[in-house]
Amino acid sequence: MLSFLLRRTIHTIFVVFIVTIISFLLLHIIPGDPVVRILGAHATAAQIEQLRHELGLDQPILWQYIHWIWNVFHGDFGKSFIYHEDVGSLMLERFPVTLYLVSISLILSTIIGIIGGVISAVKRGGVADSLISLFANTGIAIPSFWLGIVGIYIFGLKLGWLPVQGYTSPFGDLWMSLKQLIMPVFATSVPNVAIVARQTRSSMLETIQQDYVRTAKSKGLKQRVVLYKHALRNALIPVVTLVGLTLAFLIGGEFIIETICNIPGVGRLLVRAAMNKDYLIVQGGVLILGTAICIINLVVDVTYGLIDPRIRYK
Amino acid sequence: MAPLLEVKDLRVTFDTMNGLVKAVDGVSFTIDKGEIVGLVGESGCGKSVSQMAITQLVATPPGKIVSGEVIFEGRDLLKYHPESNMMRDVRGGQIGMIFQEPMTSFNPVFTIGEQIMESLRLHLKLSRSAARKRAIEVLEEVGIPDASVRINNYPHQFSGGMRQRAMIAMALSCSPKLVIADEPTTALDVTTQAQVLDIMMKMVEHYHNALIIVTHNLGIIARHAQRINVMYAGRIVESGPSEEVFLNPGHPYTIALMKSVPRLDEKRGRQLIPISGIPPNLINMPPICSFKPRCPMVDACQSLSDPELRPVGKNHSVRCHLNISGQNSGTIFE
Repeated sequence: MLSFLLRRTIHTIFVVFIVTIISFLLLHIIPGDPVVRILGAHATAAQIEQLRHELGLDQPILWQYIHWIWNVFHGDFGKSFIYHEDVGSLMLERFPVTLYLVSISLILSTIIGIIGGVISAVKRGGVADSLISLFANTGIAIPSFWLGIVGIYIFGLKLGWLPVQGYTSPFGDLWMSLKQLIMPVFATSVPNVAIVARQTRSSMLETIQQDYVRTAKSKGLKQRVVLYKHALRNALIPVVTLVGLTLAFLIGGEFIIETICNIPGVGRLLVRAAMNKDYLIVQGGVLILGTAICIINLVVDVTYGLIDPRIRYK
Repeated sequence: MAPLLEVKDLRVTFDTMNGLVKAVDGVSFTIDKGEIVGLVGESGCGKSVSQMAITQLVATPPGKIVSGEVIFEGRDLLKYHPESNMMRDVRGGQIGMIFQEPMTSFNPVFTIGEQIMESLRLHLKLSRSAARKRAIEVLEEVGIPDASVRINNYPHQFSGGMRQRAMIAMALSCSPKLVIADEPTTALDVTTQAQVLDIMMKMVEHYHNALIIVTHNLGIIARHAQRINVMYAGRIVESGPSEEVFLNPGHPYTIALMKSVPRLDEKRGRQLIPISGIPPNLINMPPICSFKPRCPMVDACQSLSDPELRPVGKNHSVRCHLNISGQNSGTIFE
C-alpha cells in the first residue's frame, strides 16, 4: 500500500509536470502578445522591446519554462500582468472559493445521483424509474452554462428568488452565501447527477441479477438488506471510478459558471487571464488544478480498494 | 405421517419475447423427513426452476408461479408473500439452498465468515461471537483447513471446491429441515466433485436433513438418493424408488438417459447412445406426449394423446402410454 502511494505520487508529479509543459506551449502558440495588451495599442516599438526584455519574454521558450518552473519550486509563481499582484497570493485567495463550490457540487451530485440511480433500478419500469431516466437523459445533454444562464434569467431576474450573481463567504453571511450558491451548484451538478444516476442504475440492475444476490435472498435476508448491503456495494464499484472521472468535467463546468455568476474563484480568474494572455496566472492555475485532479484520482483509486477486496495495491 | 414437503401441481411460467414458456407444467412430488430425493433431467427441463419456486426465489417478472401448492410442514408456502416474514424465515432457516456456481454464488465484497454469520445471526439469533464460533465449526465440519483463519478470507481467496464446501456449510449452518442442492458439483472438476459430494452427504446424514439433489448426473443419484424424479419438458415423467427406477425404468426417456451414461461394470467397448433430437421448445407445446418427437420407441406407440402419470408399481409411476417397466426394461433397445 505504501509503495503504491509512493509510486502514484511520483506518477502524479510527472503528470503535472507534463501538463504544465503542454499549457506553457499552448499559451505561446496562440496568437496575441501580452506586452501589447499591457502597454496598449499606442506603445512604441522601443517600449515594447523594453518590457519584453523585463518580463523575460525575449528568451527562448525552453528557457522561459525552466525559469518559471525554477521559481515555482522556490514558491514564486510570478507576477500577474493585469492584476499587478503575486500569482501565488491571487490563487490562494481564490482557490478556497472554487474548492468550496466544487466540493459541494461533487458531494451533492454523487449522493443524489446514486440515490436516483438506485431508486430507478429498484423500481425498474415504474413511474419513478421513467422520471429519473428522463431526467438523466436530458441532464447529460444540457451543458451547465446553459443551465446557469437560464437559471439566472428565471430565478434571478424574472422571479427574483435568488441573487443574480456574486459570492459571499459562508463565514461572513451564511444565508446569503447559500442563496448565491444554489444557482451555480445546481448548474454544475445537473449533468453530474445525470451521469452518476445512469451509471448507478445500470450497474445496480446488473448486480441484482448476480448469483450472490440470489444466494443472499435464499438465506432469508430482508429485501432491504439484499439490495442495500449485498447488491449496492458491488454496484458502487464502477460508480466510484466514474465519480473520479466526472470531477474533471465538474471543474470545466465550474470555470464557466464562475464567469457567468461572477464568482471570484480560480475559474473566473483563469478565464480572464487566458483572454488577456496573462500566462503566469494560467500556468499557476493549471498547476494547482492539475495537482488537485491527480490527488482526487489517487483518492478514488484508494477508495476503490476499500470497496472491493479483490483489489490489492502492489 | 405427512411428508415434510409436498409439492402439488406446481406451474411456473416465464414471459419471454417469443411467448409464454411453461417452464414447470404441473409438477407434484413429496419428500419425507431425512429423505434424499434425486431430481434428474437435461438442461432447461425446469428442474432448477421447480426448486427455486419452492422458496419463491423465481425472479418475477419474467417468471411467475401460476398455480400449485407447496406444503411445507403443513403450511402452503405459496400462500405467503415472497417477502413476508414467514417466507424469509423458511428460506435459509428451514430450507437451505446450495447453488451450482461456487465461483459466483458468494458475494465478492464480504468475507466467507461474514456471509455465513449473517445467516446464523438472522435465523438462530446468535450473538456476533457465538455466530463466529459456529461458523468456524461448520467450516471445520466441511473440511476447510485452518477454519478459524480462513473464515476471514474473501471468496476469491478460496478455490472452487472450497467455496462449494463453504456454501454447503452456509446452507446447513442453521440446521434446516430440508436442503435443496441445485447441481452442487456440476461446476467442479471430477476429483473435487467426489470430495464435495461426500462431504455434503456426510453433513446431511449428520444433521438429518432431507435433501433434494438436482442433477443431470445419474451416478450421484444412483449412489445416494432413495427416490428419483425424472423431469422432462417441465413435467415429471417418472418417479419411484431409486433401485426400482434403475432396474426397471418405465419411461423411454429414463432408459435413454441411462444409456447415455458410461458404466464401469459393463463390457468395454459399448457405445454410449446419445438421446437424439433437441429438448422441445416449451412455448405452445402441442397436447401430445412431449417426448414423442425424440422417443426411440415411438413406433410401438399408437396413442396421440398426452399421457398421464400412472402407477406401474409400488410408489413407481410413469408418464408413458407404453407398458415397458417390469420386464427388466433397462436392457431395452440395446
